[in-house]
Amino acid sequence: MAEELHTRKVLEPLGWIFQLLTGLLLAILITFHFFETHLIAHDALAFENVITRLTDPAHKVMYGLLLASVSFHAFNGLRAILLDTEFGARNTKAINILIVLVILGAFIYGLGLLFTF
Amino acid sequence: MDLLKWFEVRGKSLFYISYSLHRITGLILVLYLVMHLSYLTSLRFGEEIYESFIATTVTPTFLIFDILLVLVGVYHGVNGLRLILHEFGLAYDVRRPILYLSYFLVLVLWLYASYKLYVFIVGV
Repeated sequence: MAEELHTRKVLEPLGWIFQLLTGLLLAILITFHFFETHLIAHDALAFENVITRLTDPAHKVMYGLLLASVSFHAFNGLRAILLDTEFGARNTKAINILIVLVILGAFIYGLGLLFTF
Repeated sequence: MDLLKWFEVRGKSLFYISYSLHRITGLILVLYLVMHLSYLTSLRFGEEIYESFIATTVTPTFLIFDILLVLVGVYHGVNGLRLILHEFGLAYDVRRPILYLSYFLVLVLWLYASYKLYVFIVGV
């Protein structure tokens, strides 16, 4: 199948497996997050309710997991797209380094927000 | 440019078009992730700033963007689950019916979520 082969061929086995695993995890976590913030309560996005969720330990763990998964999945996917171009094939190392920095940057920035409250 | 090939759909199979859509929706979601993290930064500046941001973005005017974003997210999620299913060697013999089923699921989930969003934002 075209879509698997294109992405799989440019990622290392570990990068591909983690892309699948984080994808599965995100399907669950984002569905829950979307339900909780948009489909259950009208005031779910009110400031005090957002802060209540952010200070709740169970939510902190869930958001931390969501943040780690989405940071990896989004930018590892972007890496696959970039490596699948002629430009990417010529600059593999630079792209890999840049993407690792972006994943870490997004994760650390998000953690900073999470632990502000 | 290699990326422009994704938009060439003439003579391409539905599997190839699904692959193109998966990457296009993935790129849109990466942009949204960056926007979402930036938007959450407003929480640091206190209730007034956050609420004024919400009052601007969670409105009927922005509903069309929310609904389109949900379509992008639902498509990427359902198509991704289909790929994972086949990657583990499951239902590969019936991949075409599974592809049709995934499109049907995208439509149903998108319409349901859009309706709920409409109720959430417009408050009917």
